[in-house]
Amino acid sequence: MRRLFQNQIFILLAVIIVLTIVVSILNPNFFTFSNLKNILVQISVVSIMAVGAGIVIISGGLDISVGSMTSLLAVVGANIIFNGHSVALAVVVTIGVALGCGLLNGVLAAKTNVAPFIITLGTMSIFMALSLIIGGGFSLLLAGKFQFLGRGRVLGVHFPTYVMLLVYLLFFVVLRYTTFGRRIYGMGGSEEVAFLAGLNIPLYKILVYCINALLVCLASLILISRTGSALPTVGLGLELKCIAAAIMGGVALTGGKGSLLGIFLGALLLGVIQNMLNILNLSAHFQSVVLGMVIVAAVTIGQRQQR
Amino acid sequence: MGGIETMRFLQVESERDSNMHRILDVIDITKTYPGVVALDAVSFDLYRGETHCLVGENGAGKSTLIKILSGAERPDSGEIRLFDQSFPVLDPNTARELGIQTIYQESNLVEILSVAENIFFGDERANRLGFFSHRQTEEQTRELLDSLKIEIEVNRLVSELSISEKQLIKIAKGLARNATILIMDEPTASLNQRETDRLLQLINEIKSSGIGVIYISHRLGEVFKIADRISVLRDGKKIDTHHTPDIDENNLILEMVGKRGNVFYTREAGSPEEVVLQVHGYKIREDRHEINFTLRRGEILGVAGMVGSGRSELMKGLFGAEPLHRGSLSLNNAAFEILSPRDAIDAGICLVPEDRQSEGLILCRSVRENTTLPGLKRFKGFFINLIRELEIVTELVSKLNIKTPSAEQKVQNLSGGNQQKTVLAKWLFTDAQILIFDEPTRGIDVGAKQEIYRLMGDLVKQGKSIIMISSDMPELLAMSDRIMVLRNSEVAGFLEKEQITEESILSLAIGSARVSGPA
Repeated sequence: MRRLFQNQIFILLAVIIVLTIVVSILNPNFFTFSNLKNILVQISVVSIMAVGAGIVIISGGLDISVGSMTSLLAVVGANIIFNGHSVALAVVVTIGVALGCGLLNGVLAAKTNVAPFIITLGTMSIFMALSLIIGGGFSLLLAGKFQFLGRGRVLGVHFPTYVMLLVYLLFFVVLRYTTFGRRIYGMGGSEEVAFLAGLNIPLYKILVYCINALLVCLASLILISRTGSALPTVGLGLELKCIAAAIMGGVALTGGKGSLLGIFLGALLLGVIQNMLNILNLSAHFQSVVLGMVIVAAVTIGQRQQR
Repeated sequence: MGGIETMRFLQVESERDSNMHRILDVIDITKTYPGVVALDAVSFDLYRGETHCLVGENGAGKSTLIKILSGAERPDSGEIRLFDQSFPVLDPNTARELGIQTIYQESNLVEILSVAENIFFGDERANRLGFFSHRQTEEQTRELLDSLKIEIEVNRLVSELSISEKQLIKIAKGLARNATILIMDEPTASLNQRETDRLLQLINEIKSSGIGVIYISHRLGEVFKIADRISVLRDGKKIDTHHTPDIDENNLILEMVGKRGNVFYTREAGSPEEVVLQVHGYKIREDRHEINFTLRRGEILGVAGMVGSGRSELMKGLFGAEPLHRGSLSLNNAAFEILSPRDAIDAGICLVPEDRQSEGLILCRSVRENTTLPGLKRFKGFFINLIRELEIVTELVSKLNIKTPSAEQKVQNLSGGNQQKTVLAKWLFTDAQILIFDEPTRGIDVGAKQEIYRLMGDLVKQGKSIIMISSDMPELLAMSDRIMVLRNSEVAGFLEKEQITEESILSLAIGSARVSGPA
């Protein structure tokens, strides 16, 4: 029984359920089917990025450039559509740019001894600068194009929700049932031991950062589709949210530990809190304060479990 | 006074006397953790100026007793008396103030600071203005190290020191704190013979100043050299306490193991066949001579030498884990190049490293995952057949007798011996033909040691070959078919089976002779 209470997943579920009950009492609009669907689509962008963040951290790395990467990718994608080219072209180019970002992060992480935090701190600035240069600092409006990804519905459920679930399903299988997944956990658990076990460490580091970048790409496309626009600042703060979601979900910063179910619940919890604050009509600034406090508390508790 | 009264008077006098000299007395200490009784009504005492050794297999309760004596854990019941005072509650600070210094196997030195700074860490020397005084720190450290005849520069960073040098500094640090009771847990685990002797000499000197020493060791040779008394723990109970002259090694082992066990493992003679590995022209250091040796099928090649002679570096280099001045390598008469551990593993060579916790196992992952990690290639395609994997892992676990509740158990929860067996399991999973062991039984209890020796014997009988680096004389003597002795990053000589004695090994390892025998 005690083991159950110390289980990260159990705690997350319990908190989510308790919060849901509390808020539903305060505002019956919360526990409606349509609001729940809202929550799922609202978390889609962050939760997809959380998968990428989680995988990088599980492998022993860290990527804080994802927020700026989102801005860059959003601006690139939106720019192409804005200039009258096809959505398909936008998607292809954005994927290309994302791979470039991922390779930059990955090669630096694999070939230099610099800590990933510092590397991605640097690339974060690079991506942000590029996004301002390309976007010119203006907000781009898509004027009705590229709607389906972000705003379409299938069987009444928002399309991004399906994408999100597909991503989770895919990576759940990859992490748990493939040799790739095993190697990622191994490398994150102890890079030295993994090296002595014959793992090609540089290769896997590069792969992991590229996978992360591709997931960020997917999230950015959903983002610009949903909002119909792209601000160069659109990615601000996203790195905090997606990393926090992963850590709340039980991913250890030291690497080698974490589960996809946990990451999902972490993202869900963040989304529930955000939704809750909206429904309770709290001002956006106050929301940021609450969210920040929750993240600190949850990460602290989460790290305590590791010991 | 009559005769009987005189005797009684003398008896009372000597009791009082010994009470003054008894500095530590724990009575009926019991400690349980969930699911296990670590200590069961254990009594133990220590006199001024005595060395009292604690022996027992891993899991016998030695570490728990130590933790209680140093205040790190509180017993469930029992009494702790120190210097004739009873301490119902003993915490680490009080223990330290009373002068109880504990030196554990795990390092508690700050790697990025210097030797001197570490010695006085927490007890810094300050000048008159209250600022940290480098000069005083260095001077006093130099004095301390000189008095202990430790020749280590006080300014060197601890991160640059070898394991054995760090050990000496840890002990010096304990002494710098005006210790009254020095508790040492396997202090010589990483020291070579010369350094061990020096340590033991140190302890004898320490005793004369009245410090009581509690010494835990697996190495019975040492225990008999320095112990005044020896206490045996087994399964949480104290079996007996002996004055050293009253007992011998075989009976001690009987008490430790609870069943008839032999100190020296006797391995049935191997019959090595054709040459499987030829190493030619490797150099540990640019300015040293070349190293050439061969390995035969079915043979155990012991590699002896002082700590720092280059044994681990050579083998890690052969394994592709460390840069080395490479020569040529041939396996089964085919030339091979090994530039990374992956190359070595593909060639059928594996390395069971010296430090199993930081180099051999991923502690936070399970037995299953650790076992299959180097051999994931065996699963064709992306997916791991989890059922097949469990089958193979379970088979290996039972073959190696790894005590674990399940294959999903995190390896950090296993005992040292079982962890080492897990490392072995993972290399067996890759079907390695040449196994390099670096200190295969360090920090492992007698029972598990014998199991590992048996496993090694079985492996070579099956036609595999083993290179065994060891600092444990009995191990080298018992297990090796041949021995290669390294000295100062070169080969000092080779010893055939009939030439192997403790003296011949030692004379090559530290002497100036060079034997150019068959490689």
